[in-house]
Amino acid sequence: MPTPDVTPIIPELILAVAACLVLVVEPFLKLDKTAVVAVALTGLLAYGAAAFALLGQDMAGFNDMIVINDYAIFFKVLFAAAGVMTVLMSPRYLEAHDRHLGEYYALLLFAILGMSVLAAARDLMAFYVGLELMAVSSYLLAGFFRYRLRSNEAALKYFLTGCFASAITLYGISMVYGFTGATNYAEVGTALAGGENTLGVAFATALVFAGMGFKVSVAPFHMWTPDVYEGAPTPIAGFFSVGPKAAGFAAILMMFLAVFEASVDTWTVIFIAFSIFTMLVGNLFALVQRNLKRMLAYSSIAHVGYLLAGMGAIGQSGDLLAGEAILLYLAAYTFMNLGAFGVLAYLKTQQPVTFDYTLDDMAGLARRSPWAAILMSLFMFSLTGIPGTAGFIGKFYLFNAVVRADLVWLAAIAVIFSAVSAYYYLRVMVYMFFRESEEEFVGGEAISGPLAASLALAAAGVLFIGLVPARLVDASATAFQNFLGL
Amino acid sequence: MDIPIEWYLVLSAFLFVIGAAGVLTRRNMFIVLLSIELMMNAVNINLIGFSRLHDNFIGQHFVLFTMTVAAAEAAVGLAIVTSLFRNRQTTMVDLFDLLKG
Amino acid sequence: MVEKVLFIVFAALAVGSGVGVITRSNIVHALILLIFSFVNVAAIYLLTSAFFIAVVQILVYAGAILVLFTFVVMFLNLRQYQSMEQLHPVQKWVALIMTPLVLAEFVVVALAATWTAVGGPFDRETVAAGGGNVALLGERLFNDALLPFEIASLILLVAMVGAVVLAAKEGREFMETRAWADTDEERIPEFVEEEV
Repeated sequence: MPTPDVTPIIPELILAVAACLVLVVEPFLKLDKTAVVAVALTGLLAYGAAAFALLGQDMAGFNDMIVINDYAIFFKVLFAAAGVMTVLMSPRYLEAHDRHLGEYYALLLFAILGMSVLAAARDLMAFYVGLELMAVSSYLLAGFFRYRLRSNEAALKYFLTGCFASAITLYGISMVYGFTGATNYAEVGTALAGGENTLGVAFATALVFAGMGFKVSVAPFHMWTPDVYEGAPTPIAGFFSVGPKAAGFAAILMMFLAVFEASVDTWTVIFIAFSIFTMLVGNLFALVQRNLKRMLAYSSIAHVGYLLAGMGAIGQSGDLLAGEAILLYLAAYTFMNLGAFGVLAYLKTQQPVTFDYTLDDMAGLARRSPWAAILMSLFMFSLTGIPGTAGFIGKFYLFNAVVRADLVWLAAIAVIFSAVSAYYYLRVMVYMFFRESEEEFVGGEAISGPLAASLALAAAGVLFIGLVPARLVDASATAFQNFLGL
Repeated sequence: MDIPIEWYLVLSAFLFVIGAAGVLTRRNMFIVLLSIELMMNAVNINLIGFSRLHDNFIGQHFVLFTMTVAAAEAAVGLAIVTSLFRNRQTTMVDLFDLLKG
Repeated sequence: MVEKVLFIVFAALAVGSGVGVITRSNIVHALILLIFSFVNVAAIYLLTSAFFIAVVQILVYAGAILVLFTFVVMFLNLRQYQSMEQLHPVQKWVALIMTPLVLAEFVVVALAATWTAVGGPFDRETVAAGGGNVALLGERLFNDALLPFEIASLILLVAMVGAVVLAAKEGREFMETRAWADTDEERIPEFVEEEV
C-alpha cells in the first residue's frame, strides 16, 4: 500500500495537532490558561501560514477526495482569521463567566478543521464527515456554559435542528450516489449531466438545498438561529455567524456548480425565491428586536439572503463575477460581524450580571467607553454598507453581479432591503451617542489585552477591505476562477 | 432473483418519513433523538441497496461513516440532555422557553 | 424468491416497529421497538450480502447507541416525566394528512427514476473469490476512503471531549483547579438563567 501524499492536508494536520496539544496541555494548568490560548493561537497562525505558503498549488489527494487550490486556500485563510479573532476575544469573556476551560479552544479548532475540510472537499464522503465534524463541535460550543440554562437550551435547539438537517442532506446525497454510483464531484457531475432522471435529480437537489439551508439559516429554515446566537457564548455566537456560514457557502457553491450542474434551472429558481424570502424575514424581524444578539442573528439571516441572490445570479448567467462577489462578501462579512460580536463580548465582560444585550444597555456608551462606541459604529456602518467600509465593497460587487445576470429587479429588492437594514443598524448608534443611561455605570475599564487585538484586527479588516479593496478582489477572482477549473 | 432496488428505496422512504414525522410532531426530546436515528438508518438502507446495485463498496463505506456520526451525535445529544435535565427536570422541548424563537 | 419474501417480512417488521417508536408515549417501549427495527434492518443487510455492515449495525446501533440511550433513560429516571406530552388535535390531523403525502412523494420519485447499475468491479462472485465481504471492504476502506476515516476518528474524539465537558460530574478535586479554587467558601456552581 503506497503512502498517501499529505500535501493537500498539511494545514489541516497542523490544526489537528494543535487541537490535540491543547487537550494535552490543559490538565497541567490550574487557573492561568495563557498557555492553552497561546497553543491555540500558534496553531491557527501556523494553519493560516501553511495554507498561504501553498498558494498557487493545484493538486488533489486521498483518492481525489480533497484538493488544495486557491479556492480552498482563500477559505482556509479566512477561517484562520475568524479563528484568531474568536480565540482572542474569548479569555476575558470566559473568565467573567467562570468557565475558562481549555477544551473550549480544542473544540473551536476542531470546528475550524471541519470547516476547512468542507471547503476543500471534492467528494461527498469527505463533504459529509467535514460537515459533521464542524456541526458536532458547534453543538458542544453552543452548550459550553453547562451551568447556564440559556446555553443548554441553545445547544439543544442547535443539536436537534442540526441533526435533522444533516439527515435530510444525507438522503439527498444517497440519491445522488444511487443515480451515479460514485461520490466524487467530478464523476458525479459528469454522470448527472447525461440528463436522465430529471425529477429524481431535482428532488435530490431540493433535499440537499433544504439541509444546507438549515445550516446556513435560509428562511424558513432559520428558526433556530436567533435562539442559538442568544444562548451561546457571545464569541461563539459571533463565530457561528461567520465561520460555519462561510464554510456552508463554500460547500454550496461547489456542490451546486460541480455536482448539480445538470439541474441548474431548478436550483436557480429555488435560490432566487428563497433569497427574496430570506431577505424579507431577516430584515423585518431584525427591525423589532431589542436584544442586540437577536438583532445580529436576524441581520445575519438577511445577509444570507443577499448571498443567495448571488447564487441565483450564478445559476442565471453562469457569470464568474457573482462567484467572486460571494467570496468577497463572505470575507467582508467575517470581519464586520465578528467585530460587532466582539464589542458585545467586551461589554458583557465589563458588567457580567447587569448587561443583557438590550438596546437600553447601549445608552450612553459613547460617554462611558468611547472606543467601544466608535468600533461598534464602524461595524454597524459596515453592516449597513456605507462607502469606505468592507460592507459597501461586498454589497457593491454582489449587487453589481446580480444586475449583470439580468436580474435587475432582484438587485433592486436587495438594495431596498439594505436601506431598510440601515434603520436597525443605525438605531444602535443613536442609543450609543444620543441617549443617556438611566442607571449609574459602575466599573469598566478600557478595552485592552487580547480583546483589543481582536477588535483591532476586525476593524483593520473592515477598513482595509473598504478602502483598498483591489487586493482582495484579485484574490477572490483568482480563487474562484481556479475553482471553476476543477 | 436479486431484490429490486426500488424495494430498498420504498422501505427507506417509509422509515425516513416516519422518522421525520416523529421529529416534527413529538415534543419529548428523547423520542426526537430516536426519530433522528430512524432517519439516518433509512439513509443507510438506501446506501446499502445502491452499493449492491452498483457493485462497488462506496455505499458500504459511507454507511460506516454515517454510523460513526450517529454514535457521536447520540453521545453529544445525551450529554446535552443530561446537562439540561439536571437543571430543568424535564425533557419536553416545549418547556424550554427562555429562548423564544 | 425466498429472498424476496424474507425482505418483505423484515421490511414490514422494521416499518411497523418504526411507527411504534414515534407513537408510543413510554420511552422505554419506544427504545425497545427501535432496537427491534434496527435488528430487522440488519437482517436486510444480510440479504443484501453486506455482512460486515450487518454485524456493525447490531454491534453499534443495537449494542452501543441504544444501550447508551437506555442507560440515560434509567439513570435520569425519565419515565416519570413522560406523561406530560400532549399533541394539539389540529397538529395531529395535519401530521396524519401530511405524512402520507410526503411519503407518496418519496415513493413516486423512487419509482419514477430509472436506476441504472454502473457495473462496479465488486459483484458477488468477485467478492467471494477475493476473500469475502469483510476482507475486501476493509482493504478498499483503507485505500479509497482513508481521509474520511481519519476525520471520523476526530468526530469521535470531539464527541468524547464534549460529553465530558457537558455532562461529567465535576468532583471536588476537579473543582479545585477551577477559577474559584482560591476562595475559601465551598462553591457549587448554580444554574443561572440570565443572559450569557
